[in-house]
Amino acid sequence: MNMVSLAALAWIAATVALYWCAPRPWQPYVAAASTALLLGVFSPVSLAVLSFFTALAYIPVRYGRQWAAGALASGGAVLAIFVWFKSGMGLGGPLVPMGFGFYTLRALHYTLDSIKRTLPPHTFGQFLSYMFFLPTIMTGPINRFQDFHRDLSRRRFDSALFSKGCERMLYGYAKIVILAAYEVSHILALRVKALEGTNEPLAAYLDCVRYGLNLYFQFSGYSDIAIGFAMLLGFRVAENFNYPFLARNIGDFWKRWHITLSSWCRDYVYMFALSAGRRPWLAVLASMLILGVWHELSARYLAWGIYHGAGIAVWQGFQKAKLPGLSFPGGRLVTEGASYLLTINFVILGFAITKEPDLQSGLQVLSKILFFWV
Amino acid sequence: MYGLLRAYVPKTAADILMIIWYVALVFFIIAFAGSDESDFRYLRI
Repeated sequence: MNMVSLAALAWIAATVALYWCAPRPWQPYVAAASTALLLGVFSPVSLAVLSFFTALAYIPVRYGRQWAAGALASGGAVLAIFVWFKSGMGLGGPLVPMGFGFYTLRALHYTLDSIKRTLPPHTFGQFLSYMFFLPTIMTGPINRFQDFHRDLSRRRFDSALFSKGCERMLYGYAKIVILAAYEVSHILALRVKALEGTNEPLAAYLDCVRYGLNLYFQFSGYSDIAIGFAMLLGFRVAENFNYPFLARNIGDFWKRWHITLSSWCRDYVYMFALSAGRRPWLAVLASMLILGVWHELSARYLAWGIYHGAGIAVWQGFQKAKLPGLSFPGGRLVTEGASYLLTINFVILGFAITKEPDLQSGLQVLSKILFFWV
Repeated sequence: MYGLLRAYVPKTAADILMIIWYVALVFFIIAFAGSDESDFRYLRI
């Protein structure tokens, strides 16, 4: 189903209406049933995998005789299935179930937090409604169980929140349809194509800008719809983007771009790797590699992960060096301007690696831009 | 956005401007709807 369509909007409207008409204890199950029905109709494989992950994440953790071993085993099994699907072996083809990457990370978060004993007391029904939460099932944000559980007990019909949710969804649709699909993918793409014959390096660079803007407007648009939809159900879901193209360094960029994924990697990969190896640069590299593999198990995403990991490691080293600032008037402005330009161009060049279907083509685009005089 | 408007114009004018803004957004969304989203990779992740 096209998520930006009247059919999807009607599905959302029907879910919201049924949700608020149902008795309060049933409401989370109405949203979960809507998810199950949607997946059952459009992607039965996804419904099977999501149900299996939900059981896998819950049963060994709650009922296993060896509690920690059960939790670790269930986390390992979820991860193994994730890698199996990602490597293109899943059901004999390159088939990835709908929302797979997002609910896998939710299941892993639940398992790992249960090992750390940071989960609030809850029932299986509450966990089920978390895993089957319709607003975030397709494209995230990767919401945490603790936040969901808090809203589950506090939620009530709030007209101000409902109105905010409608507005947020409207902005989401506007970003996807007007900015991403029309302005960037159509108008800007035509301008870039016109440049291809006359100035190849500039056209290649602008195509990376087009790719990045399209990705941003689409993804933040989908996140807006998810966050707005969650508000219509009385839930507040974590933000996923915070003006990433205004970042002043690469570390700042990753605090603004796909925030729920980068914070997931920080909490469950970076902190673990740091405590195991005591080397921040290695922990950063491990986190960014995992982040890359989460997107796709391929050479281009491994290279992209290393590229960003190396960028953050260099920036961290630069920060530790504590170089003296420029002393002339306006020196700070120059430093900040240079820092901003460096960051935005680092990110844009990174898009060259992932926008092409394979690593070799990506590197060719990159060399075309970097060695523009050749 | 509404807060920003209210800082410069009276409430009624701000309300009317917001309604015009929302109607315009809906109009443009309908006008440009039907776009192909197959290039959005996060739907297949």
